[in-house]
Amino acid sequence: MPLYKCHIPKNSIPSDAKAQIAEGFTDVHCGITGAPRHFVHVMFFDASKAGSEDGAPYFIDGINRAGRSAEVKHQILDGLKATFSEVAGVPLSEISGRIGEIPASHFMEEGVILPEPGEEGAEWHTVGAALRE
Amino acid sequence: MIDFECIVQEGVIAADLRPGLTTGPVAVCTSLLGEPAESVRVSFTEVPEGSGFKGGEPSRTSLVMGTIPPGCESQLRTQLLKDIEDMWRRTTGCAVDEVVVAATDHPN
Repeated sequence: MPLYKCHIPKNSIPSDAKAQIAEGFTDVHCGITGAPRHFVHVMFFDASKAGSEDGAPYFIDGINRAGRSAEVKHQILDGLKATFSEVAGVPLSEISGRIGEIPASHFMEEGVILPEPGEEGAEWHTVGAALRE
Repeated sequence: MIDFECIVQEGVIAADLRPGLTTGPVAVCTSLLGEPAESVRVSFTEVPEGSGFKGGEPSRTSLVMGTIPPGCESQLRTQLLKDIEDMWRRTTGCAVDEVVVAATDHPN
């Protein structure tokens, strides 16, 4: 975690832009939270209709570990939307999003139960490191 | 009702593995939670090639996202997560950093 699912109009964003957005999202999330980059998941799905309940054609559906302040979540979402807008050339007014929360203890990633935000020890940054060497 | 959505990257999980990956969470939930098999639903969502990323790089990771009845005790939930992760790795042969499992409370 986190997971960011981007629902976009069919064929609206080329592959290289998706990769740039994913890298940008990772920069935003990790820059604000300090989370290790390898935990950030980003995916894109073509939508056959408007991607959000408010009718915006582009919708970022995020899931984070629970426990961060509303201010931090706003900061993350604003950063994601700005990144998406800049890379994809889509006006901010056409991008909607939300960040939902799930308790960290409800996730297992890289073989461990995720720690609560703010309770990450030094080992958090090395989980799975050996696998990637 | 228990729901598991298996989000997999296109081309990573062979189609012939899906039956085993479907029955796996059912077996774990019936064994650990005592739920009837017919109350466990497993679905697959495929992330199109070139559309899934982890750490900003192309991803091979599967996400097994479950909702279970509220009130599951912590130790039991951890065992559930571990058993499903083990099943997924055993069936697919994937590495430990190529599967994420969630079991959160059903919103009712």
